[in-house]
Amino acid sequence: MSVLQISGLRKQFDGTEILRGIDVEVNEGEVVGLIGSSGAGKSTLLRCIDFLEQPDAGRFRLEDYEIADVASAAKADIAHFRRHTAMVFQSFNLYKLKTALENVTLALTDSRKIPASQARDIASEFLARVGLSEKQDSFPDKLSGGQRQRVALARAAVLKPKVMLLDEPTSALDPENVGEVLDVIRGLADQGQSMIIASHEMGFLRQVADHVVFMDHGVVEEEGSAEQVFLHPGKERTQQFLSRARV
Amino acid sequence: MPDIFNPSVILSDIPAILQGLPVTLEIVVFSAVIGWIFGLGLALVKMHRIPVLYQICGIFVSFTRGTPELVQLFLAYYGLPVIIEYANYYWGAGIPVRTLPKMLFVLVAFTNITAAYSAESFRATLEGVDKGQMEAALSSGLSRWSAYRRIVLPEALVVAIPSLGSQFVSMLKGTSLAFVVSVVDMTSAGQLVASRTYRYLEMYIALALLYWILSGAFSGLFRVVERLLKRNERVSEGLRASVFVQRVRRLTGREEVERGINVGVTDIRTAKAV
Ligand SMILES: Nc1ncnc2c1ncn2[C@@H]1O[C@H](COP(=O)(O)OP(=O)(O)O)[C@@H](O)[C@H]1O
Ligand SMILES: [Mg+2]
Repeated sequence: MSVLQISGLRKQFDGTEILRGIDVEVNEGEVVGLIGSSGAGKSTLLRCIDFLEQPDAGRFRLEDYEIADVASAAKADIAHFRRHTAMVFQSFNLYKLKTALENVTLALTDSRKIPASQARDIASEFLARVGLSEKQDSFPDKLSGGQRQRVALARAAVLKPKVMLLDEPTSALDPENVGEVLDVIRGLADQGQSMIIASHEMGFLRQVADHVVFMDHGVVEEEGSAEQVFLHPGKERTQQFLSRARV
Repeated sequence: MPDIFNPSVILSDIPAILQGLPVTLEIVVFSAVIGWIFGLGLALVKMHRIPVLYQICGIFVSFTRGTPELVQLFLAYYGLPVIIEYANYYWGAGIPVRTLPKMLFVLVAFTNITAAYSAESFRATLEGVDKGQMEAALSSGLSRWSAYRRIVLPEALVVAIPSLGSQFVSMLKGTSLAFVVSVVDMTSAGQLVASRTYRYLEMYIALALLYWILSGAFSGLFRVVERLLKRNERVSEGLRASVFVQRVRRLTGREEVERGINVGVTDIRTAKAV
């Protein structure tokens, strides 16, 4: 069953169409790998799903909640999508003046209205899952890049989103920190967390992605199972991209 | 020795001058608190380019910053009663103009000044807060207002504190103008004393010293507040304790010295346990 369905999504910036009618579907418990050159529109797609960018046209459906015309999405529609999806950013975007634990707790108390002590317990458990129990009172500037991204993953996972949106979660990391973050993502995937991951980690996507979407210049050029897209790409653009990315 | 200058008068003038201290503090603290709230409002109007309000606020800020404080004090002193008289005439507001406390004019003038100056500080620091944090908050379901209140404002405030502090101190000095509308602040109190003793130089030396001390005290206070609010840069008690433990170990030559340093710096919790 599909959890998230995006149809005909369009988005332009200053008259240039960046997304030119995108269709993407995420099934329950599925990992969708989003690949494509820099500038293809991957970030814009993920940001539109969370309404961090206002989409120009398209239809979104999250389980049985549908927004027939996203261009005229109501406040409540936007709130619903933001509430049930969670974004992980390339640059972590942790709250600077909050500890790791407070970063994870904030949305629980302020958006989900969970009592503070209970929220702390839940957050603490999620930090333990990403292996950061020891760091829960540290501030972001005292953490390594890998640790910061793991906090960000805990902050997103704690909200039990129907779909998690990861925008190049390891691109800003030093190479030695990439592995620990990918391990956490793999863990979430194993637990059945549905997600879309935009990434250049082709080896990783080949292992964890159930479905791979190749975007090029604002359209979905090719999609299919990881094996299909990585090993037997049908389109020339895909082959070119993959040969440059060296899977 | 001729009695031209008498240093002991400097000391003996101080208690009388200090009678004006509460009024001085009242002016500066009131106008700071209310002025900062308005200043924050002005900054938000400017950042979000709210039509009409944006232009009005722009003129207000530029006018207030571009005219002498003394002139503004007189504008409030003579202008406010006129506005009130018109209000009484057209809407029957019935406000007794003649009995309005002089302090009111001073507070209005200084609140305006604080608002105008702090608006720029707030705008610069609000815009300086990394947008990614706001996006993370929105994306996790917080309302824009919650995100502002919990993330953006606290961070902007921390960054704004030094400039708010120096504005506060210059406002503190500016309050000495209040004497022109016969509000008895420290300066007025001092002038009253000197008009009896005719020891003007001694009084002004005492007055200068008091302003100097007050300025220093408030500058220090703002630095302390800044440090407290920059909670991510505060050295935690745990770390401090572990550094202490390391020093003791180094002095006593215990074996775990090396391990202690290692653990202490990278991990506060284990260090405490060790
Ligand atoms: N806020 C914006 N304003 C203008 N152009 C933008 C904005 N965001 C993205 N773009 C443009 O959209 C295109 C796609 O960007 P992006 O979605 O970030 O691609 P990707 O994530 O695949 O690298 C780029 O050409 C980029 O310059
Ligand atoms: Mg991108």
